[in-house]
Amino acid sequence: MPEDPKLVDELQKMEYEPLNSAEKVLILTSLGLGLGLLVVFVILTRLWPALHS
Amino acid sequence: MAEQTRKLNEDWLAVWIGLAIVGLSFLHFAGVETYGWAAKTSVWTSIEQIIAPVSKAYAGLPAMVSLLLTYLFLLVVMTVGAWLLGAPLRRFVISFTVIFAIAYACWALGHYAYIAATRDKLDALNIGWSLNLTGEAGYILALLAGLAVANFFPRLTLALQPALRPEWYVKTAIVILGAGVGVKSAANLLLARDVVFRGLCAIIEAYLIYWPIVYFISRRYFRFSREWAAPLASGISICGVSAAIATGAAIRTRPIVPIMVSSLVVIFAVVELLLLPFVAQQFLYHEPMVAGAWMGLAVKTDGAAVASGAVTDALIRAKALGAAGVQYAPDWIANTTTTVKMFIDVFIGIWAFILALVWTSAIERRPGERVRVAEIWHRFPKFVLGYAVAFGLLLWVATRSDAARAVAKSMTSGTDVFRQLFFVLTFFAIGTASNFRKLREEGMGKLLAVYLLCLFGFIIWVGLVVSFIFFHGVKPPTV
Repeated sequence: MPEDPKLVDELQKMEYEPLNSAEKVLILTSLGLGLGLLVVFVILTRLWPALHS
Repeated sequence: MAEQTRKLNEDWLAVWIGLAIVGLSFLHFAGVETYGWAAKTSVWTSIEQIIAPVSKAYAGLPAMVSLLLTYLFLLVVMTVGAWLLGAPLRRFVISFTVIFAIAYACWALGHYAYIAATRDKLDALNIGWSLNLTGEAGYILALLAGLAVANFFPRLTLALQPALRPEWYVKTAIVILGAGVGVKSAANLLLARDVVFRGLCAIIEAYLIYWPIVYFISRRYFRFSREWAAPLASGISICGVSAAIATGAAIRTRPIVPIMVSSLVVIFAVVELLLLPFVAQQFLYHEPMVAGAWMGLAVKTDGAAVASGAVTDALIRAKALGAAGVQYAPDWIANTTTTVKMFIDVFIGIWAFILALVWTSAIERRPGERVRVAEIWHRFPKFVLGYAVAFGLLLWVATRSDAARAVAKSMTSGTDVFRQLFFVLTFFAIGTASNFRKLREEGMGKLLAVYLLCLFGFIIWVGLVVSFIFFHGVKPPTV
């Protein structure tokens, strides 16, 4: 908990661990998939029986 | 809370209690108005108008007896649940009674005509103005009461702990909500199907876009370690407490990490709950379903998200009626929020599984460790099953015939009383979980900074864009 001085120290003095390649792949894959699927889903919703009033 | 051995968890209990309440209402088909005695709360200008039994068959029942029966019914049901949870029963009964009293007082006050009346009702109520907030203003009052208790009466908050269970209450409410949505969907199957499909699209997008950006910002600019950054990204971007805990378990963080993240999530969920429905009312009343989906994508924690959907539903319907003369059917906006939120919950298990897989195979390789597919089921929110069963049952019933649909409607008018009460209890309990002193505590500053930046910097806005892409032009039915 925040009252624990060790945890407070840890949060304030956390050493930087550079992003490794697996993390970069995870980030880029997730984003790429998100943007790619966005296009697919937009097309699908256009094909879906629309309920626009 | 010092609980004995748990015989069931809140998730499963919500399923059984919700389904039991819905199941009992099927006695309507045998001519028994199961919840005809339950206390229905109405917009009032004088005290005797506040409470009336749901069914006209019980019109002779005094209001206070109706309320007492409603309280006793809930007390018995929830005490059995508390026993199954291993909670201390005597303390649960006392604290539940206090919570019910405060929450119901807020609910009743929220129905005061000058607060709640919509513009079309002003003449009938013989008043010249109102805040136009609908009876759901009671939710906001319950939230404020909870906040006041948490921040000014910490000893009372501690004493009420055995019954302060927002997740249990909201999940039970959602299962009961499934019945009502089933009946409404029977009248508009195409729209119900559309909401489900678009909701699924929206949350896949939100997951895949939110999480990597928050993770990247936390790691690159705030220099959080992986152990902190992953639960933080899940907590901020996905579904708050459950996601932070699931991610923490998936990548094997120390238990304190998701707990710290969760405390921030809960506090900011309350801030969002107080702000976003009013923003939506002002700017999205012409796009009500966008507003509903936005609440589901932006507001964290199940309780706060579904609660904000309920408030947004009421606020937007009131605004649309006053500003555009359009009277939308109730609950479609809240149902959109609930649908989006439920998909998010379902995907928490899948996302935790993916993270566990990535962590063990690539980021922190642990020799011999394997990720079990069963983890997806383990993380699966079981109350979603309860919602699906209640929804499916009532949908099936209501599509049989016009007569069956009429009976189904009267069934849900009774169960709705309990759904609303569970929501009010949720709001109060959420408020009590939000101690703003935590924000001032040393060491929270860095977490707070990344939370503020991500939430208000892009999550709310990306959520709005995603909601707009998938829900613009989709309108609830009008009445």
